[in-house]
Amino acid sequence: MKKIKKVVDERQELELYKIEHVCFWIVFWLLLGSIIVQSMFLSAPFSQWGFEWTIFMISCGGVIVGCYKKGQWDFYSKPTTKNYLLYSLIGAGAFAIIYAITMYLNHAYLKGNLLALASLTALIFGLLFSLIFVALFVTGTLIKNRQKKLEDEFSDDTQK
Amino acid sequence: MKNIKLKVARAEKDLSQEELAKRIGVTRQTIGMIEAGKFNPSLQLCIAICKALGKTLNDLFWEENDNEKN
Repeated sequence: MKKIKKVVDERQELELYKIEHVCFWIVFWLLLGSIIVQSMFLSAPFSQWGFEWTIFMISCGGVIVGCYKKGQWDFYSKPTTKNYLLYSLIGAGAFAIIYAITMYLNHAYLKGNLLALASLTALIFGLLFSLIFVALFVTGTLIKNRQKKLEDEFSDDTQK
Repeated sequence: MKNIKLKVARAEKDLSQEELAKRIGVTRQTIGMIEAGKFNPSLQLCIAICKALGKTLNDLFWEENDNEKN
């Protein structure tokens, strides 16, 4: 297949990548926000936000596959157990707060029974924390192995 | 870090930013930004600039001391 010739120089290409990078993350977070509002605050059926969720999951999958292939993890941190714990804590904590708020707003029973709401939130937090930690641990380990493989590919010992 | 050496070498060859840019296949803005120290070119582009101006990488991109900073 013939490659389309680029008409930009390396600086323009770099700047375009930066623009696309920023726009991607804006769309990513807006999409996530939209899904949370529709599914949790408005209690809309899955058929209403399912398409957005599918697109969101495709973009997540794309990022994970891309990062794995290139052996990349993150701009600001390394794949370590400390970071897995930190990110799991932030992710699960943020979701648990949103969950608690929406449950409080949407369920009259929980409004009068804060202990039940707290227990439910703690349970969700625990489940999510474990889930995120396992997901980060698995992807982090895979990426570290991939990094090692890529390093070996270009090392003095293997190049001929 | 401004690249005065590049600006001088270009002037010596009596080339405008536009002409140099055309010779090496980049935009005028890119040349302007390299001279102003706002963009770090790749080694490939550095070599192309050196070839176009008849200079070496040392002549244009090597800093001997801190005097040329800013």
